[in-house]
Amino acid sequence: MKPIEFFLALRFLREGRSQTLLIFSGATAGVAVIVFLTSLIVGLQDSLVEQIMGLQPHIVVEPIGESEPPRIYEPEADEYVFTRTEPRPGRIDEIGEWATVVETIAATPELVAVSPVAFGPASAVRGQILEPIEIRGIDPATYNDVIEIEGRLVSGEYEFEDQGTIIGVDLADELGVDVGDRVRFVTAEEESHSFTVRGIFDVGASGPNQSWVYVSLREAQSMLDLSEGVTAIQVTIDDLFDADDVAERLDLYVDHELRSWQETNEDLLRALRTQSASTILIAVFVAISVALGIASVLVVTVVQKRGQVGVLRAMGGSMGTILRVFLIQGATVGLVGSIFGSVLGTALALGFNNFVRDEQGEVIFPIEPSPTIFVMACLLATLTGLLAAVVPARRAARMDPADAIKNA
Amino acid sequence: MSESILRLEEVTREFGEVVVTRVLKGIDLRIEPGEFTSLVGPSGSGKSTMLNIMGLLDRPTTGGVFVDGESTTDLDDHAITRLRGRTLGFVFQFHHLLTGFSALENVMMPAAVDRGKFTTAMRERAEALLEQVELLEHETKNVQHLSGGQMQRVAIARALTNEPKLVLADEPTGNLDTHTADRVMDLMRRINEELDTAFLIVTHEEARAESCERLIRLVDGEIVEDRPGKDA
Repeated sequence: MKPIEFFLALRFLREGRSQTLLIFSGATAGVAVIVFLTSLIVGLQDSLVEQIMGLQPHIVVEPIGESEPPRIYEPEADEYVFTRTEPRPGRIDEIGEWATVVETIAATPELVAVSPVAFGPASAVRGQILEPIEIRGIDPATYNDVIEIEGRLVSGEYEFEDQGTIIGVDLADELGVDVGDRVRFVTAEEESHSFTVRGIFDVGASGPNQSWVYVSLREAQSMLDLSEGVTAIQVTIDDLFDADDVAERLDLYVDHELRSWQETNEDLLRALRTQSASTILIAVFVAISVALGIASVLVVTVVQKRGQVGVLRAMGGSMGTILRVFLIQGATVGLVGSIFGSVLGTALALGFNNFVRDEQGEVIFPIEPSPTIFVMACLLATLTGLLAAVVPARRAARMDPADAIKNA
Repeated sequence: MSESILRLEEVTREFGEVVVTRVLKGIDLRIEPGEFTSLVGPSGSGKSTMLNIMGLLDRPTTGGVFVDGESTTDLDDHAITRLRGRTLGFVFQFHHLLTGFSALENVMMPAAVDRGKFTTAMRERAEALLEQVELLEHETKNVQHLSGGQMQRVAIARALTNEPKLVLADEPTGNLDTHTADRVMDLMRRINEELDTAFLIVTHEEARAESCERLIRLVDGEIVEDRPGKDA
């Protein structure tokens, strides 16, 4: 590219004011739609993932189950036996040597937190009220780094000493209890255990608020009749999207079942992927529309500038020079349009954050256009402008100079 | 004897595939350095076609075009474009200046296109040329704001930017009133004398043609007259 080609391209754009304004507007609108829509979808997905992952560990280590029962039939060499292991009724599977597993996992470089837990079904009883609950025995020191509860307390403290419990806000309402009140939990074995409510949490989801009951790991082990074992080990890593890979790696060292959140939420991820694909498709169609707009205006410009193109060729301008002059125009329209479009898209996002709110006046989910979206939009728009200019530019470059001057 | 700037040898030009029209029928012509020549002929005689071939804007069907003794027959588009830019200058009836550009930018353009950028030397040369055509005070003006005669003078200055050996002018006064046309003709003649640049001027005005030192008459694609101008 020579400086004179940029000079000519920019002057041609400046000269064709109304046409230039038209294609700049088209590119700006297109990029604004892409930036806003992509930010909207990213914001929605982030909010969804955050909401779900705020209540889930990234990786869960669970017991494989009972060891395979002895075969009652020894197969011949050419025979196969298909077996299925059924869990023993009424018995919760546990990880006995959990301290070793925790130690192994602790060596993972990506690790943020690892915490053993003992979960099991029970009922909360107060007077005539009986509510099904899930006993969640935790190690308070490590669990809060896996799923934050302390920061979500609406009253009381993150405290489990002396048979303390932390329950959800909905369950507290149902039972009519508050911090300091006593509450009774009855296990599947119909054993009754009494606890003092030390804290009430609100995680923003009705299920957990209704049924999760936190007690200390030791209490849960006793209630669920676990022999010093735990029902799972929960893990959080620094980048949740690496969970699959980390789980796969840990599987080589840990002799239990490892499941990443991606595996657990396969349907959600499929839905998110479909949504992302739709966004890309919309962006592509918008880019095509912008490209057609730029191309059609540039075609008109080529016709209008026929005489000038002919003269430039006559005075020694090569076909390459003419080609590049029009390609630069297309790319410039795309680039400048993307800058204005990014600003407009950001303004739309800010408008969404300010004006679109739920019934409580809260932001439904925040949209924050990222620099990556701007860079991608700039690249996409510049490339679109460049490609859109190919046909008009080739047409201009191939113009016969004598004809161009004669018919101008 | 010095080499002709431009030489046409048995040049023919045909148009059409099914119905073939032969517009030029074996033209032989030499343009010598410093000549001030007119090309006249009735409409449809092939003047523009001949000018395009001489200006390397078109290629002959048969025959050869030689610039400074060098054949252009086998040159590719890039080489032809370069040769054209450096050897020839053009003045058109409708000036064809780049609108939206200043007079100075228009005059600098052939050199800038050749070298890919504007330089101080180009600017100095362009200013000197604008001074020569008495338009230096209008150098920063957008050419759209100049009169017809002024625009044609800018076009002449532009044609001289790369110090061409030959300027091909296609009806340069055809769109001007008599007084302005006289001034433009005088300007071209003065430049011819001062810079020794050859001019070939296509015109339909006999009087102007006769004022040139050489007159070539084209009729039905053939040169029927090639003689000194009567009023030269």
